[in-house]
Amino acid sequence: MNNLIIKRSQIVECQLAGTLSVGKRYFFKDIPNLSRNNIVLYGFEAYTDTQLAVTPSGYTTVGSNTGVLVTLRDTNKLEFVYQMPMFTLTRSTSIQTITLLKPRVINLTDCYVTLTTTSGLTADEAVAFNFYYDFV
Amino acid sequence: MRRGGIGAVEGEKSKLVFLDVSKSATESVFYFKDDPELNGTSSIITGIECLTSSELAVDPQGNALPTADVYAKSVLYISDDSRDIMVEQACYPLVRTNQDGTYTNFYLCNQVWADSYVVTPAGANSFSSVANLAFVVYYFDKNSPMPIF
Repeated sequence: MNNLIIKRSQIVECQLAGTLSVGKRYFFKDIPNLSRNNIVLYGFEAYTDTQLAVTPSGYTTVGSNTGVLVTLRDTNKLEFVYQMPMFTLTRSTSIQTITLLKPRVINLTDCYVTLTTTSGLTADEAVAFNFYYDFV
Repeated sequence: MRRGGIGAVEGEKSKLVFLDVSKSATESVFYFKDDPELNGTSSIITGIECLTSSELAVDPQGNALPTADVYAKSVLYISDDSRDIMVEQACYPLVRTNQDGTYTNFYLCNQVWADSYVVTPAGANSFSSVANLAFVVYYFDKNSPMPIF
């Protein structure tokens, strides 16, 4: 069930740069629109290459979501979403809902993904998300 | 949560919008034609969906609509009246049959339709043999009573 009203949205990416490594933190790329302190994130979803073949930055989107964990940190460096499986965040592989959050100011470049396996993933691909946000 | 679709709120309308991507052999950014009805000065956009050939076989000119994989190569941008990006949205999930069978809800008040566009990050030739992308835009006429969301 589509459970969200989109007010503003932005695709964010996390490039799996270099040799893939389990446990390594791959940080989100900075996006000026989301770096302002006056925006709150209230929902997000993840994409594999089925939903988005190539990210806006030109990276191939990962084809597997079963070995990727997502951690979101707020401006107090609190990991309010800690190691959530990307599988859960992908609508077509979960229950087709977008993950809703209590609206929160995030620190985008402090957010990261980690891998539990490199199987099905290729170096320099990107993990892509659509973030849904609003102004405070 | 608001659900129900067109007609659920008094004043809600819909419009079928085609986006010409026939120059995709050389271009990868495609702007929508200006449509005053879809600008934030006169409407609130409450929903958007992308149509594939499964939902509408051909456009009015007889060209086949794209399949879902074409939308997986497409990103929708809607700009606001400050020329900031208000929406950067992957198109594939906007195809209702790819997700939950409903169109995606938006609440956009200050959009500028002529500054809105679709990009194919995969580059030119991603839309080979596609003439038009198709969108249904659901919007609320600001001259009608305001809905409560």
